[in-house]
Parts: sequence; C-alpha cells; structure tokens
Amino acid sequence: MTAAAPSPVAARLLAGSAAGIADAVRAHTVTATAMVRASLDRIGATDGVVNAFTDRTAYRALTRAAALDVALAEGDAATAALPLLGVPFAVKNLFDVAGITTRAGSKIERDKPPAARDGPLVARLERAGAVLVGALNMDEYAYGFTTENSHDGSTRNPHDPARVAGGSSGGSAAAIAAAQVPLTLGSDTNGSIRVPASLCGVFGLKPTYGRLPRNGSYPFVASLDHLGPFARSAHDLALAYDAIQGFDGDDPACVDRPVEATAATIGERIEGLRIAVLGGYFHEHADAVARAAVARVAQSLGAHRTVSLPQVERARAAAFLITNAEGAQLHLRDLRTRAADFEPLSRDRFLAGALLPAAWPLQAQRLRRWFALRAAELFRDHDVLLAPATPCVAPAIGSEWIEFGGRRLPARPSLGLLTQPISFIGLPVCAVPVWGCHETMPIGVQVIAAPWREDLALRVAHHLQVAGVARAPVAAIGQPA
Amino acid sequence: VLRYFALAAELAELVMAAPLGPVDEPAPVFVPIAPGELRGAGSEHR
Repeated sequence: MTAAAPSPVAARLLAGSAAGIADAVRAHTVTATAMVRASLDRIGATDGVVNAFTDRTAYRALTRAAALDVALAEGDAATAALPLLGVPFAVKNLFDVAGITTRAGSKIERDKPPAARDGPLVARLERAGAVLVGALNMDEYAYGFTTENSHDGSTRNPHDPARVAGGSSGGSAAAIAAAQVPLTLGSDTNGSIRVPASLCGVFGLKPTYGRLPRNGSYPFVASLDHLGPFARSAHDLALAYDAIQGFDGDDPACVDRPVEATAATIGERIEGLRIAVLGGYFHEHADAVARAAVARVAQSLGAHRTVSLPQVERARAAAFLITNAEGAQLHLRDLRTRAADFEPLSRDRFLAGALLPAAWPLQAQRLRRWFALRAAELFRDHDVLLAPATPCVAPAIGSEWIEFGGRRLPARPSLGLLTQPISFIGLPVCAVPVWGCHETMPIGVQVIAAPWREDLALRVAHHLQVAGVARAPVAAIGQPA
Repeated sequence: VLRYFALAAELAELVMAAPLGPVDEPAPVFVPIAPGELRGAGSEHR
C-alpha cells in the first residue's frame, strides 16, 4: 500500500458524522480507503497536541478498507447496506484488539501477550462496516476521571490543551472532539464515558448495566462496569449502539434480551414524554455553569418539574466504596510485588482500597438495591430525568482541587460526583454537550432513562441536537482562538 | 494512600448509617451454574 494524496472530500467528511461517511462511501463519493487515510492523517497532524492515541492499526485498517472498497466495486449488496460502512473508529486500550496487548492504561499489562482476537464489540462494529484505526489513552486500569497517565502521558482537551480531557475514557472523547475519528468506544464504571464526554464536548452513551457484553475488555469493577460509544451526534451513537447490542454468555452480567434498535426511531417526537430535572444533590454539587446547562436543556424540553432521588449522597458513597474495594482486589498480587510499576495516582487508590473492611462494600451493595428501588419508583411517573454530567467544566491538567459554591473538593474523585449515583444502579444515560454557559468550554448534561430505555435517552438527545441546544463542534487545534 | 483511605472512611460512615433492614438484600445475586451453562460461567480470562 503506497501513500496517496489526501482527499479533501474525505477530510471534510471526517469532520462530519459517521452516518454521513457511510452514506458517502455507499454512494461512491469517497472510498473507505480514503476515509481511513484521512483519519490517519488527522491523527498524525493533531495527536502531538491531543495525545489521544496509544496505538495505530494502520496496516490492519487499510487492509480492511481495501476489502470493503473491492466488495463495493463488485456491487456486493450486503456490503453496501452496512450501517457504518467505511467509518474509521478507535477504542479505549482496555478493549481486546487482535495482535495488540490489552494494557488498560498500565505498564504492568504491557508484558502480557497480544490479544488473540478482537473483543465482541470491536468485532461487531467491524461487521457493521466500521474500520478500526487504533487504541486510545485512558487512566490506568480505568481508575480516574482525568486521563493523567504517566506511562503514556496525559490526554489533553482538544478545546484547550491546558485542561484535562476527563477520564477514564479521555482518549475516546478527545479523539472525537479533535475529529480524528467520528466514533469511539469507552467504558464507564462511575462516569468514565459521561465525564470525558462532558469535558470534551461530545456525545456519549452509557447503556443499561448488563446490556452490552464486556468480555474481551479488561475489567475494572465487574459489578459496575459498562461499555459504550462516543460520537459527535446522537444519531451516530444510536447507529453504533444498535450495531454492538446482543447477548453474549461469556459475560456473566450480560442480560439475555433481544436487540432493541434505536436509530430508526430516534427522530420520533418527544411530546408526551414526562421529563423532569433532578434537584437536591445534583443541584447542590454543580457550579453555576453546570446549572445553567441543565436549565437550558430543561427549557428546550419544556421540563418544568424538579424531582429528587432520596439518599443520593449515600449512593455515591456506596459506589465509591464498591469501586475502591473491588477494584483493589483485582490487583492485589501486583500491588504486593510490583507496586512501583503502577501509575502513582492509581496505586494510592488501589492500596487504600485493599485496606477497606469487608463490611463497607457489603453494606454498599445492599444500599445499591435499595437505591435502585427508589429510582424505579421515580420512573413510574417520569420517562426521562436530567442532571449535570460534571460539577464544572474541565479543570487544568494537574489540578488538585475544584471550588464552587464556597466548597473546595479534591478534583480527581469529585469530577464523578454527579455520574456515580446513576451508574451505581445501572441506568442508561446519554451525555449531551452544551456550549455557551462557559466562556470557552463545553459542559455535559445527563439525559437519564429507566433501565432498558436507551431509546428514550437517545431520542431526547437527538431532539436537543436538532434544536441546537446540544452540539459537538470540532476543536480548532492549532488555530488561533 | 492514607488520604484516600480517610476519604473512603468518611464515605463509609454515610453508607454504614443507611437505615437498611434485614430484607434489604445486596444487589449482586449469585446464579448457580448447571453443567450445560458452562460456556457462560466466565472461568476463562475475559
């Protein structure tokens, strides 16, 4: 495969939507190969600033794209019908990718052999026509909200490289904001999709716990781990989500449910949906910018009612304890024998988790069910709930503290204050990016639905995008502000 | 480590004070595995 001149059409399409790319490839306006080359060129031109990618799979991607182009040229109808035809994508480096070691942001895992095969979600996206171009940076073992990683360097926020991208799926969100790819996968245990989506100004979907199989990915906290997509539009999220749904018995937490497609109905009307704002804890732990974003979204949706979940602070505390204890347990052997090889930020968290009395996470798991029952009661009368995704916009890299409302909180754990109580009980959430509430940075709002109603969260997110309230512009990297 | 443990201990106070009764069961439910279900038993590395 030889280098070819960059295609201006492909470069323009790359800054658009995944759906637009698939349509253009289908219509022979551009080839899948040109799209992959455009993506690799964009990564090469911007990743020195962003540092989203840890691996590039150029040979694999160009080979796969060439095969798609051949099939299209031969008139293969099945290929032409693929929903993500020729769409470049990338995955957090905790997903298994054949031939690459799954390192989960760590140094320790680098000694392990390469993955023998792609994880199920990677394989499903490729079966839908998407083309993998690389793997993405993250907090070590997914334990963090900032993607400050001393092994691979920090991922920088494409909208302001002095600020964090959020985490732990920081590379996954930054790659979208920088238009390196239009579609990525990440994981979310306590907010690791929604926090970076909020801070980088992109759309992110955390499906219901148990919806998507997690085998073929490196676990963090099995009882809380979710996987999901990032994109620059709700419709692209829906296309990706529809492509990766499906039961897999190799993940014991995966629930055997039929595929419930969302893309075809995403444009349906939202009139009649009962939408309310989550107040109380979610209001108190948000600064003026985050509150303004929720107010703007609520106004656009005609959501005038504010409701409360009980004991949210306790729920967040319980999620923290389960994460700390269960996450530490997974790494006990390495903590004993290779503590110096851990990222210092993660090591301290894991070591603390190894010291927790068993009663704490056990009580937390009991509280989890209690809290899930209270949320289910709230969803009897509501279809969608709104809450800020992060307490504030992206802080500067290296920040130890965030301050708002007269409070001073430790920055790194507190970025997940508003996402943790929701993932604790596995509710599906679409994070939507809102601009204009802060001078220069975006902030996200969580569109939360009842379990298994991803379709409603996506439909509301799409409505907000069509209304111009939510948007995910490409960052002007290297251009004057 | 101590600072993080102190944070965990502070949060544990909240959780341990939750007014749960004996019928409030934990969230994870163990599911027995029959021989025919071994494929999904997850004994292999994910």
